[in-house]
Amino acid sequence: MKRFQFNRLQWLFVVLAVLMAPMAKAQIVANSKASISGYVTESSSGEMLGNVVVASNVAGLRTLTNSYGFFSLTLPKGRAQWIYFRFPGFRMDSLYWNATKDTSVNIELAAAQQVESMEAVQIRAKKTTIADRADMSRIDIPIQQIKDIPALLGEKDVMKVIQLMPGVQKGGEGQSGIYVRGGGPDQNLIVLDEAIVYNASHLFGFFSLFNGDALRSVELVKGGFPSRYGGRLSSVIDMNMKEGNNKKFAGEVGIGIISSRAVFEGPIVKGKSSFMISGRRTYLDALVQPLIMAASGGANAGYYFYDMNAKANYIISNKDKLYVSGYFGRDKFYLNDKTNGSVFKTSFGWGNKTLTTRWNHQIDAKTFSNASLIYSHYDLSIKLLQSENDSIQFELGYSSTINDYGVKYDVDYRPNPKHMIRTGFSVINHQFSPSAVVLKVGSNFNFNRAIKVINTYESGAYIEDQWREGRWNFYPGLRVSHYVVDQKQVVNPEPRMSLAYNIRKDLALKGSYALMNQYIHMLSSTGIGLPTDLWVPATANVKAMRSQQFAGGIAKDFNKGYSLSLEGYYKTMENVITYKEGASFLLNDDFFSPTVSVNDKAWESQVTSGKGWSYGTEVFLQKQVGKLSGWIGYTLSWTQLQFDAVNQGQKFYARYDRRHDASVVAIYRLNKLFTASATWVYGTGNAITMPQGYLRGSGHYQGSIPEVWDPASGLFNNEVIDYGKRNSFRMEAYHRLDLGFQFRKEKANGIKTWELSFYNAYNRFNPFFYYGDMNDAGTLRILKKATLFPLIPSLSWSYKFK
Amino acid sequence: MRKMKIVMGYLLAMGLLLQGCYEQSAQVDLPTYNKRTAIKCYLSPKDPNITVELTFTLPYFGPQSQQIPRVGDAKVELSDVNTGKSVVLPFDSSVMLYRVKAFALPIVNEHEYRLDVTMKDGTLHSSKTTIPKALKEEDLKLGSFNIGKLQDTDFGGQEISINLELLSANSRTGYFYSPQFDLVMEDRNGDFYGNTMYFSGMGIEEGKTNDTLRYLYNDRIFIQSPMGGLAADPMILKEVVGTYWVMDQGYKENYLREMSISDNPFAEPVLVYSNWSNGAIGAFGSYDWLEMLLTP
Repeated sequence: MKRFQFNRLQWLFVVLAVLMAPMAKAQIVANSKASISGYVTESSSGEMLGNVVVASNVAGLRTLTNSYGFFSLTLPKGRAQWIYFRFPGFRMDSLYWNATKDTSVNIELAAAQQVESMEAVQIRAKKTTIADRADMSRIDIPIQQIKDIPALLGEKDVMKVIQLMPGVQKGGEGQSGIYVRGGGPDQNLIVLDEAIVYNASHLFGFFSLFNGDALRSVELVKGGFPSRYGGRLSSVIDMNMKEGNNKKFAGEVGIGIISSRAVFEGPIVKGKSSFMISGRRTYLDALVQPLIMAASGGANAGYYFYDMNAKANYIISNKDKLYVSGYFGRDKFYLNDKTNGSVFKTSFGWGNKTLTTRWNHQIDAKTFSNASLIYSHYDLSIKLLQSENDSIQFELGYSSTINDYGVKYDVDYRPNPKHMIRTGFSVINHQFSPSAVVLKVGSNFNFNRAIKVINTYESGAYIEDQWREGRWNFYPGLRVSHYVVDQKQVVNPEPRMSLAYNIRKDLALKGSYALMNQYIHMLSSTGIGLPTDLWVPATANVKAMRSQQFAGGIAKDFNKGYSLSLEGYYKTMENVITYKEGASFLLNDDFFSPTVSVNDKAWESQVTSGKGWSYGTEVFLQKQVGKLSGWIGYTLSWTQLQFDAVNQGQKFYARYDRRHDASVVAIYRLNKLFTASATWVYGTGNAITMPQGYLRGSGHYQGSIPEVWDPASGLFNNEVIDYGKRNSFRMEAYHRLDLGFQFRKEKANGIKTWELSFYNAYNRFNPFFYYGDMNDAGTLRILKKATLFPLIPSLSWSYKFK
Repeated sequence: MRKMKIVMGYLLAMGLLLQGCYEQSAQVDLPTYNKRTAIKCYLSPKDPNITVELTFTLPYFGPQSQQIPRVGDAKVELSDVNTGKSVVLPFDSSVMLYRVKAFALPIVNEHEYRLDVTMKDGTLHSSKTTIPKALKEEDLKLGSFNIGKLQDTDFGGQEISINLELLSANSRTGYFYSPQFDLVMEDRNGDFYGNTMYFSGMGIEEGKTNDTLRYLYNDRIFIQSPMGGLAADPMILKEVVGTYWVMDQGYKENYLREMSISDNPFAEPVLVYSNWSNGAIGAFGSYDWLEMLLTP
């Protein structure tokens, strides 16, 4: 008898059919039920609130608002009941609803601080229970905590706060790049209002480009990825900008040591449309430039970065809303020297631009949709020009750009309180120009390697359900990704599943599985996420990366606002790429080689692909409410890589393999006027490759003439360094304590805040890099470490308009 | 005014703190150093001697010495696996190498050789290599080529663009082939001009048992007349002359690694090569070559 077997497409059909089943069932019973739907907003600003618990007192049925504040709860007809709206830090609201017909309501929640004393807030600001957040490996980062936590030079930084979460590690001292569960910095999907941000750092990685003043929500997903996310292996950092206060004008200005910032928001048409605009700029260049000019006799050099976020929205009708938002930011280092007709100019700059247009539409009482048009741009450029009497002697230009044009459509369907179904698709056209070089020497040598734009198309369709059945919560999902490059295409199904079982109301067991594909790589010599790192697409020769992650855990809520989460994970990664030994972004053989044709992808010959493994355990003890809030995070993990062409094919620990990683964050709000905060971090040192010995003797270079070659006479004291195994040396452990003190004073028109912070309060000399150095006599070579940031105090001032 | 004083006082205090506590570097614990045995031996049918270099590595950090810690008390035995013959290489203290004349054990193309190095403490390091197939004149041919027009440069000389293709047949997968050639051109005045050709990837390509290897040379070269005058169009290709090399995996890997070591701080570190057993580093490799003259 012939055995029946499903092929890949048939499996796909079966999974989709299972996922769509609740929709069909919902249609059958629709007439016996009524829906209450609408939006939940913050009362003072009109900002939409996501993840608000909307619950009925009947049978404990509940749902959550989506990121646009929309909810829909469908219940049996004919029964009057209370509907509760609950969100951490806000007063709970409720309404009495007689479920006889579909009803539309808009709810405004008041922040607890606005209506109650601080003492009351600690009691009344009810936290989300464990049953409400049964998904795993997902952390919401409260914006207020970002502002409360002390930061380097007083610059509040979203990414630095994310680094304090278990399972997330930083690259090096001061770096804003993150490594999630063993994945590289390129494996994080960083989205700002749905636009992908490629290089999320300012000042060579020391600050992220996200201005906390402009953000409404930040969510980190480390595993158990919902199907709506795709394209990266290790994490999703989903950020949304503020919509802007649609009730009154508000704003905040701040002055810090290296930069100043401002945010303004307000209604365009009251209750109908609003705007938000924020910006910041460093002014070190302006301060330092006169000194440089005086010291150098006319040369000017400097560095600055700026960024600007802007957003506007318009409520077309009760069912339609339009948003337009954008980010524009740039970093630039420059040096200009002009003396006696001789001009030398150099600059190094990089920047991001994003633009998102979204249209929210409520199709019916149970169905919400969003359509987005998305543009994202990243570019890096290096320029060097030398001229004499207006005649160009030497000119070098290097540039690398990415342009993304995307369209996205999502539907949120809530047939009944047991199911929250999401489905949709996205298509992105990535346009890569990895390394274009212009080189002119005099008037005759004119080399122009304009690498052909590589067009790739990445698309995905998904369906997922949050399915609540008694004590069980299931999150099945399926994403099908599609990728086209070099006129070849691949289709990859990406099954996802999370589940949770509530043993008690305050205790849950959780598990998840996710398969992810990534169609873009980042080539990095340093592994720390510098702007020189090159983003390149997966091609026919350099395949897409793939990961599979299994995670399991337990979560428990305790009294007084404490909660504990314990998670373990195991992740495998395929087709991870790295530079071959000896290769790098700069100074490789082909960088200026005219033999490289304009359509060549020179980088392909410089890389090799391999595998990765990461596994570990994470502990997260958190206290969200009360005078004292914060968390303790601890991660025990291992991350290994293997490439056939590196380390002689043997496995080795990744640079960012960190056996122990711990963070303690404490924020103490004594009263309305004073807040003290402290963070302490500890991490096992990075694994790096260091010289251990060297081999001195004869070489045998091809090109010598073998007939006369003799090692005895041909010795040229060739010295070869023996590094031992790849990444076999551990840097010293990293630890640091930061302290922050905020003093507020209420004024007639606003609140004034002075903040004093101490970065690296006990002045630990943490290693930034190591180097070998000979003594003066040349008889002793010692190993030295360079430390970047000692104790750095900083002071900042801000004023928030009422 | 009072607030201004506070701010100024703060900036002063901050400056003092930064000056007082910042130290750029501090001495730290050294990486663990394990002394390793290094063995290098390259066999070629055309070499008059068979030599084996045996040394220990030196610690990279710590006291530095200019001495090469050569090992002269090991037993070094080379065997021809195909014929079963073997020879023990004595240590020649005059050159600090283990060495015999090649006729003591003929090195024959396509024969496999095994080298056993027994250290004084009894540790045995072994490796094998198979000598590449002998190269023939017809293995490398001149393909298509194009020589451009002479152009003056700002520096007083001339330059010319050249495209040239070398085609290699009869290569074998698992062996690596490299042409090291100069090209010779003649101008209208009968003067000769030469230039070394550099191919991408250091000109080393793995053989293709059933296919043709192609080496593309595409460059713009500077022309300097030997008599100080200018060259005159048309330039014609007279000949391509040099050496065609073939090597096994061990030779190629070790060679490329040693050549790749650079001071580029952004480059990935290059680990030393080893095809020895029991933790020794270095290569046991084989190679051959043929001098050739190709004409259009």
